[in-house]
Amino acid sequence: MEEKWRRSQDWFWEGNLQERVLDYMQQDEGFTILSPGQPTVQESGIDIVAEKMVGEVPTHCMVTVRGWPSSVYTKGKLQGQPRVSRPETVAREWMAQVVLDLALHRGADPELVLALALPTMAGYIRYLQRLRWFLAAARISVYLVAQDGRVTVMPPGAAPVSAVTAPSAAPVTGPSTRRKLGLPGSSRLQLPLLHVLIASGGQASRTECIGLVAQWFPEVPQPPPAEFGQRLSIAQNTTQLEGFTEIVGRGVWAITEAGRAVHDAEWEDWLKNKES
Amino acid sequence: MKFVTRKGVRLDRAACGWLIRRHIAPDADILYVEAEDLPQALEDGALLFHNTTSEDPASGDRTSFQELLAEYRLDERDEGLALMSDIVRGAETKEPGSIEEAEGLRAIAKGMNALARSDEEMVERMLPVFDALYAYCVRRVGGQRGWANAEAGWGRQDEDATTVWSPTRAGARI
Repeated sequence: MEEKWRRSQDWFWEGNLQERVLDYMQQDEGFTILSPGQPTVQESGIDIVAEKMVGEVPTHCMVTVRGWPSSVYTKGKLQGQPRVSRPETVAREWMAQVVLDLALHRGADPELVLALALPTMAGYIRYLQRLRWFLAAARISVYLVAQDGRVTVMPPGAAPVSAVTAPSAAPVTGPSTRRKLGLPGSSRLQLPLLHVLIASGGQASRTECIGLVAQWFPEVPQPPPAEFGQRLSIAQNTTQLEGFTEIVGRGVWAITEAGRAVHDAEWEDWLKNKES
Repeated sequence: MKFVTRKGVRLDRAACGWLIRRHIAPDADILYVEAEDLPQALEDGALLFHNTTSEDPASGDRTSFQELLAEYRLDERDEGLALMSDIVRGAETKEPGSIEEAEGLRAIAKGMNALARSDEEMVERMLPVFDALYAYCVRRVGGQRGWANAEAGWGRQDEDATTVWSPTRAGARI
């Protein structure tokens, strides 16, 4: 049977980029995430809000995350079918929106640390190159996310050279990207989340899910840190976009029939992979 | 204006070279450099016109030619170029159901690649091929499917075919 298309399959989807950037900001830059933003199947962009103490002064940062447009329809009856409008055409519109948003944010708050997060697609790289003067003038840095999960930061006005440099180490895609904090990434949490929802009778509160899912990962400290809950929320959001879970009350998650089917089809493999 | 790509130009990037020369920035410098020299070229402000190392293999139907067209909004303004991009994509990707002209273009490009001795020469040799292909595309989207000389008469030049690619007509684009 042909595998069902999922939005999260595209490495350049905004939800996947968000996960990488959140990790990078927390682990490498020491930010505390105030709001991770919510990826949507409509690809409407994500704003991450974070805070870091510089001396004794809290500095706030807003990162606008934009993926590369999918080449297929992301919702509706045609989901998974090729789109009529080409991604590069849509990408130009997205870039125009982002630049306007960033310019308006800078005008509204000269002190806010502003950044943009993009996948290292050549189309975006050329825009960044042509907009270096603007990024320098508006003091906007750029997080570039590569397919292998590498995140590099371009200071305001710098050239996007990381897009043309090969990774210096082995690819860090998949589960190994989360080793630094010792926490699994949100993509690894999706199936265990479906499993605990089934085991809980079809639905459970977010708090219950955090505790139950964490039990499948011995490396997660007890009680699970806030970052773990954040990643589980992202996992829930992703599975909701794919129709596998839904929110049935305030902070209450439930599994759908489609979610049960995916769980039944993939759980054994997940267990085998975990053991190996 | 400066554009850069890695060495080893074939069909898609030769078409990009034509697009830059004829429609984007006729006076631009086009650099063909080793991969390790790309970062310095970007530092110097050059614009990349090939896919990065992290492009998704599943997006193999995307061509740099199409991306440049979209970036400069040329496909919205010029139906001939839009048709040409379909032909270039078909020739580049060999996807089933490609427009019929794609196969011929691929053969010509491979032959030219065998004759050329450098990336610069490859692009230079392909310029008149793409000029002709563009003239054909302009005529075709205009509903002209016959031979131009049959319409214009021998000894007279078809105005469309001789002016459509003119750099002075195209000018630099933003």
